[in-house]
Amino acid sequence: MPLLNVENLSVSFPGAAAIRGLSFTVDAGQCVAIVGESGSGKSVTARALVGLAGDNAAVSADRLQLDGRDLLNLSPSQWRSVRGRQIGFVLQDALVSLDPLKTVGSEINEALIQHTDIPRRAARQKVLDLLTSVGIPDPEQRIDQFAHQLSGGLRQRALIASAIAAGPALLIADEPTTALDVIVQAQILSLLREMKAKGTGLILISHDLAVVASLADHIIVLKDGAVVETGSPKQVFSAPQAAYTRALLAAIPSVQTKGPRLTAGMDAETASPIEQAPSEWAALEARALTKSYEGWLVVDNVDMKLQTGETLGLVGASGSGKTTLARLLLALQQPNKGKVFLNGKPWSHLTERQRRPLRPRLQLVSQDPLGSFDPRYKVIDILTEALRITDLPKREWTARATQLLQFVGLSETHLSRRPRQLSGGQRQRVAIARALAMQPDILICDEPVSALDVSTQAQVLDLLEDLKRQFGLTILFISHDLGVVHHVSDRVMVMHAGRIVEEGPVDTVFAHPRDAYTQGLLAALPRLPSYEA
Amino acid sequence: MHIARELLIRILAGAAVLWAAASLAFAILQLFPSDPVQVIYGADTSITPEVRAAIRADFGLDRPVWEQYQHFLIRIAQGDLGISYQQRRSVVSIIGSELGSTLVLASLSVAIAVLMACVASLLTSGRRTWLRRVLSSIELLSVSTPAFWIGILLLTFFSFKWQLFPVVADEGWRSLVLPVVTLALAVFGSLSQVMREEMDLALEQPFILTARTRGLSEWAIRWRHAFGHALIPFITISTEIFGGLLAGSIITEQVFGRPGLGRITLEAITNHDIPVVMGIVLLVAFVFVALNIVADLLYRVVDPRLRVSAS
Repeated sequence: MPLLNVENLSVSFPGAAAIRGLSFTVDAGQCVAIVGESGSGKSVTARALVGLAGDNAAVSADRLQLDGRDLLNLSPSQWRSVRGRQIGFVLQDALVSLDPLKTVGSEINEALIQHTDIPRRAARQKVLDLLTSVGIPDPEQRIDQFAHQLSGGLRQRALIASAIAAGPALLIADEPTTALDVIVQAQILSLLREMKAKGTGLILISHDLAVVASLADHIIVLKDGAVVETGSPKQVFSAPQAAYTRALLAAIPSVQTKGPRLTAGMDAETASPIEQAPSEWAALEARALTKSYEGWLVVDNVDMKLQTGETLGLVGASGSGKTTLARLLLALQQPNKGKVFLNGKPWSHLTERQRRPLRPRLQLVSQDPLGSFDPRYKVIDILTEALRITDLPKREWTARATQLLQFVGLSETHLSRRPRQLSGGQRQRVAIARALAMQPDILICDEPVSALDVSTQAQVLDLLEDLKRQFGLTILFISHDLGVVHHVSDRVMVMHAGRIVEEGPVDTVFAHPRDAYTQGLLAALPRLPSYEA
Repeated sequence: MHIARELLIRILAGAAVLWAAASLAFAILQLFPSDPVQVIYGADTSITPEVRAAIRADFGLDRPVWEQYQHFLIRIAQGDLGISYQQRRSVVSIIGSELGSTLVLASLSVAIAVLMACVASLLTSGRRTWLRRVLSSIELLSVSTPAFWIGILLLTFFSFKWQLFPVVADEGWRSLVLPVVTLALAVFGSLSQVMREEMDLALEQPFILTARTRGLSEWAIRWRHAFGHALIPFITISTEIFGGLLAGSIITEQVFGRPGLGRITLEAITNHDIPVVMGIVLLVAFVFVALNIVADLLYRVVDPRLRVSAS
């Protein structure tokens, strides 16, 4: 008998079906992966399995059984005895998934109090054991700390400890590694693998096929609430049946996809690349750049050159100092030591008044375009605000705004939309159009695709490549995603603890990393399995 | 050690605020001078210029402004708020004799309102029940009804009609019931609205979903998780309201004929008794400065992220 048996599960909200006709089983010690992009219904499915789809959700199924027990008609208090006790649940991004006002020990203890009658003193020892079992060092010290005092990886481990505290036979992990960098991600995945080996049934939910590849025994691909593909990893990766699965696999930027476009169909209108006159000066150069906060060295003696016409990738884990370096290069912050030069001329040591006429040449595309837009502005207002600074006459603004939207693959109809009415990919396109409005030479892209689904990410990456050729842009591309950086970059710099630890042509660095940290990063990279042999 | 240093900074900053308040009051007084002789003797024309000058000298009003200001600050620093023009008693003793009554009234009212707001929010946040609708309506009534009207209604029923509580007079705790209930009802609405809205917001957070997946009951989720997140804004508004009640429940005190700061404020203003007015201004400034420091300390108790880590 399977641990979990789901037959024909459907969840709908008033006016919309979130998931239709989903069937699968999970055995003890087995991992089922549910993969899909945002809006595919994967998280709703996960929540429906613990009875938390929401008050206005209608859940129906022909069968929903856990260990032979019917889950379909449970009362609220019966559900509470299932949650935590029989099914553990791990959410993404433990910074917001752990109560910031509680110690991690008390969060874990909560599940024990709820489901066992363990005495207080024994409970503390049990929590310490749990912390040890999920690989948290110094549990005696960590147990009384708060979420904000732990690193992202430790927080995620603590969250997992709280989910398995009462010994559930089934664990549901909803994007458990999404907010983590690759090295920590690999650690969390191996922790989940250990639990699977000990006999826990696992449902792993992710937008990333590469992440689930190493763990899943069975993969379900969802799109718009329906199953488009289901099978073993071997079937899914070597002979994907659905066109959507093939597109999803093709859209993952990796070492193998270097060069060709990620989105099929439209071939690049190979606008002949603008020939760059070889320049004597680097487009942007930093010398011995140093920045510290409260005695903490965030950027430590960084020398770098961004050559005219190249795409330079900057990789590093969160907290490595990438974003601070970008802010120093943009002269949004002043370094404690060192200088930045723009085309060989002073940049960081100008006064802001002197710098302002030069600012259009250097534009930023950030991770969260929504946060960089005034929510009450329409797209036309967002673009004309930028055009106001150019010397374009006012009567030509609308025409220029339309043209800018066409550059980024949008149309005139988007002019009257507001940021919230656009999808994540469309917002990032508008942010790029706004940057282009200034006719910049250099784009600094700080995690420009990190918040996007893989297929949207592919479109935006292709777009940046097209624009680079069309306008002869120089790009500094900052990302924690090695696959993305490898795909877009000519050269790459690896940043760790404020220092550039390795630098070189992207293929050389990825094929033959010299620095130990780079080697660790590359080893931790989840890969799509290949079944050629 | 950090905390002690920060506390010292806050206290010094508070002292600066008090100094600024005193100076501003003094400056305004120079723009609109009042004549103590006029206050004391009214329109009595038999006062000779010599007597008038003597009285003014008594209050130090014959000296240059700068000297008066210096003298004024030194006196305040020594805790001497001067002598009332009218009552010929020290301002400190006038305020001291009335402060207790106001303090009891304000503390009890806020304590009861806080308790009611917490219970109401814990019972109704994150849900759409009939109880929530009823409580929301009561809150709306509380916010939109002036305190004196609540007081008059309570008096009409509980004193005149059913004669459960005394109308005026000081009869121990029984005479305290109606004024306390009046003020508590008047401030309950805004406290409860803030508290529930913050709890509703907290209940949307991912860590609440995590807590639910542990099998926690609705009550445990609200009491153990959501409640703490509502406390910071709640402390802010509670201390503000408490300060407001200390500074002036004038109308409520009038309705119930109670002694208190409200009454002496009113008298001092109508009689141009400037030393008393100044004393009350300084007291109110002091109360708000002190409450702000207390609130800041409470924030740290509630939210570990605000505690300065030793490392």
